[in-house]
Amino acid sequence: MNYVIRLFGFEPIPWLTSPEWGLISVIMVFSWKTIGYNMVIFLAGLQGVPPQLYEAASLDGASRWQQFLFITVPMLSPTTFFVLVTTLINCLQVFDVPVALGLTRSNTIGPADSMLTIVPLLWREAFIGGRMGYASALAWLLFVIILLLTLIQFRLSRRWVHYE
Amino acid sequence: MASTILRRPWERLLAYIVLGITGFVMVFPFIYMFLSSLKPSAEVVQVPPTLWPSEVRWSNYLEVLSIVPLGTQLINTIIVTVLVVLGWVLTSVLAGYAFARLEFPGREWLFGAYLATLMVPFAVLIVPMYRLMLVFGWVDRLEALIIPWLFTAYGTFLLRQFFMSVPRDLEDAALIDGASHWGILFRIFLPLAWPAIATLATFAFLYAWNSFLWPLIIISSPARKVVTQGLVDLQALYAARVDLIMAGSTLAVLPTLIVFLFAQRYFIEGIATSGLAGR
Repeated sequence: MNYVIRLFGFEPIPWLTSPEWGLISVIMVFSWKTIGYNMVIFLAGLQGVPPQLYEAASLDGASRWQQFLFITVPMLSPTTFFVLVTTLINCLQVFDVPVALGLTRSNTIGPADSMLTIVPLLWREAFIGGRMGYASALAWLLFVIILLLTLIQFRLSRRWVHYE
Repeated sequence: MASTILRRPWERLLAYIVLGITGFVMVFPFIYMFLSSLKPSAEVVQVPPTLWPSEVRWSNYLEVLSIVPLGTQLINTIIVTVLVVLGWVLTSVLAGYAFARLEFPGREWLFGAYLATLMVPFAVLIVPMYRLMLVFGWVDRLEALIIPWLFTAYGTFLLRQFFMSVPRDLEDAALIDGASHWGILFRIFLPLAWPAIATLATFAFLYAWNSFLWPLIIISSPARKVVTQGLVDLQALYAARVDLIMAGSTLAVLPTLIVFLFAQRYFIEGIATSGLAGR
């Protein structure tokens, strides 16, 4: 990647070794990891859209873009909702990416703990620091946060998710 | 959605070149792994690297199998994977249908509770699950890799979403014709949600086949380990013998490759036919 950046005449970026870029690297790797799964789910969702709808729409003179906006997007809304809920949960629980990219000998996650997210902190407190009570409290806190956010998503979904 | 057919020859040529390069980039590491697995150990780490082995050594494979029981571990992995995939699909289909279509008191609460199991990170579950396995007597047994993993809130939620978007008219017509819930599920919902079920089965396969952390915690006898553990053991014992590690890795990906070669036709057909108009 730095090779490509140099080709365009910019300075190489210290992806894993500087506190400023650490979290951005985590975000990039985790996105790359998650996009594939979600893409396959959307693909399955697309296969459930009846082709008759597109035929009818093109007979009525709808453009490709209008078909996408008024058929594909609403018909995919249950799939989109699933992807939103599960991806939010997975993101808040991100563990393997920051640990794999950032764990150092002194048990920091990334330079100056710049890649530290909640579950790696929980894991470090419990299994390296031996502070099980602190870690349990953190786990409950995370659970409540995720629960509240998911509940809000379900409430809001009544306005934009169309089943049938 | 109509697919675009490339008519001009140069467009086709360009497509083949791009697809060819991408395919090569994807496949090359596997080819290199296989070729390296046949090399004498000094040749694998030699600079500059060779592509073709100077001398073909199938004996590397025998040596790997004499160090780590990869054959037994592959069978363990296959047993675990097949059962976990079946479990995921079966329980998700039934529970997804129940949450999408059956009316019963407390349905929303039960669904919420089921979904809440997704909200607990695995790091939190390690200690309680280990203690539970101790109570059941499943420590160091394959049951621990299978039975706790037969159920999935993720899959249930996925199929609930797909089942809820099935038009109710279809069911009403079937109900008038006297169909039971089983009939509706198998004749209407399964065919319509087939892409989602295939997706779920694929995810279950990847998840079970690649699982490493939980087996590492719960299984310690070499003959009961799964193949991911076997490879790590091999790497720890013979870090300097890259040829052996390559041979072990080749053995480990072989079953996946065979399954994919057989299943690929169905994957591609599934994607291709659904794109055609006028079913």
